[in-house]
Amino acid sequence: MTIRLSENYPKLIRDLFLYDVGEEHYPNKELTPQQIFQQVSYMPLDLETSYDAEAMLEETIELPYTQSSTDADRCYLYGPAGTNDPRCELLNSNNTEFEYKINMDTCPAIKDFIEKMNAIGQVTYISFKRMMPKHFINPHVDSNCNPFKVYIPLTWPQGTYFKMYKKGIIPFKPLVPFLVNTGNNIHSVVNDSNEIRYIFSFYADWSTLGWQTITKNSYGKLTVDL
Amino acid sequence: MLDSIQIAFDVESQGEYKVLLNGNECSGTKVIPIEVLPTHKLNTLEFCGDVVVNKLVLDNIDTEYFVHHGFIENSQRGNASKTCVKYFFKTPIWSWFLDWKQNDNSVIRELSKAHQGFIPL
Repeated sequence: MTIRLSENYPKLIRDLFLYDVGEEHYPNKELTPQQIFQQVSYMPLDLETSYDAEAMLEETIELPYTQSSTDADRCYLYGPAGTNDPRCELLNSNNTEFEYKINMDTCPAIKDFIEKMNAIGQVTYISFKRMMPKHFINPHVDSNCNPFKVYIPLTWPQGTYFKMYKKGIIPFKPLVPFLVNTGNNIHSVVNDSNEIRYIFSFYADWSTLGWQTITKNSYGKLTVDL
Repeated sequence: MLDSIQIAFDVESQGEYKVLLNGNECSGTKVIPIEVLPTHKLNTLEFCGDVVVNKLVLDNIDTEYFVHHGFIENSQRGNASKTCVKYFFKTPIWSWFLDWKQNDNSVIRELSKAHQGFIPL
């Protein structure tokens, strides 16, 4: 699918969305978690856990964001103890202690979600992002970050797109988590709508049995539909 | 028939300088419509003279810090030269630039840059 964006966006982004016809393809066979991490750029992830998404969205709207003039406003919420915001889980970090970065008294639903994720396996970094209408993120690679993150849209207004170069538009819907490889794939995000977009994303210790099981099971469910 | 794109640039120079596309001198000011080679070929763009190339916009796409990746004398890379700064690019620009950017920001390249500073590609 290609998209014709409004003239509001830089030509590089408009051309990427208009002319890049690449698509993600899933091998139609069982893969190990390691093969999934090596070969899949994005896929839906079944977290096998219930959570109060409505309450999370209400709390998300009230978070203390650091504002950006053109891309996404950020709120760093959970990560390695005692360090400044690394903006992601860095490839060379070996942290073992993690902590909340804001007072969580007003965010019980978000805290409950994080505790449930930590029960699967250690979560290493979480941030929430608010993107204003007509804002955008230029094409980039998160190469200093853990390549794999879980990306969960809380809202996904019509006109909001996440494009991965040569891999297509990720078919995000509100509250459907995806595993995305943003460390090896150049990507760009736009909010070409008139509404604010809210998402959060987190990194995890993918070597843990819990996260490997979630990843493998999610891929298995995906291939059923192929 | 060859495709045509527009190039724009910001160049500081001591004295006169020439702009050469694929070896042919371009006439004009700071915005030049040029005919480029077929998509499988590399184009060359040279700024010859005592020059510093500060900005390079190809097909209305700002190539950002690519401008510092010019080929200069003594096997060096940069955006300033006493003789010529030479750039290579392909079309379409959006696709070539994204490939270049993805490569320049790969983990391996980032490690090299962190260890050695800027190194030739």
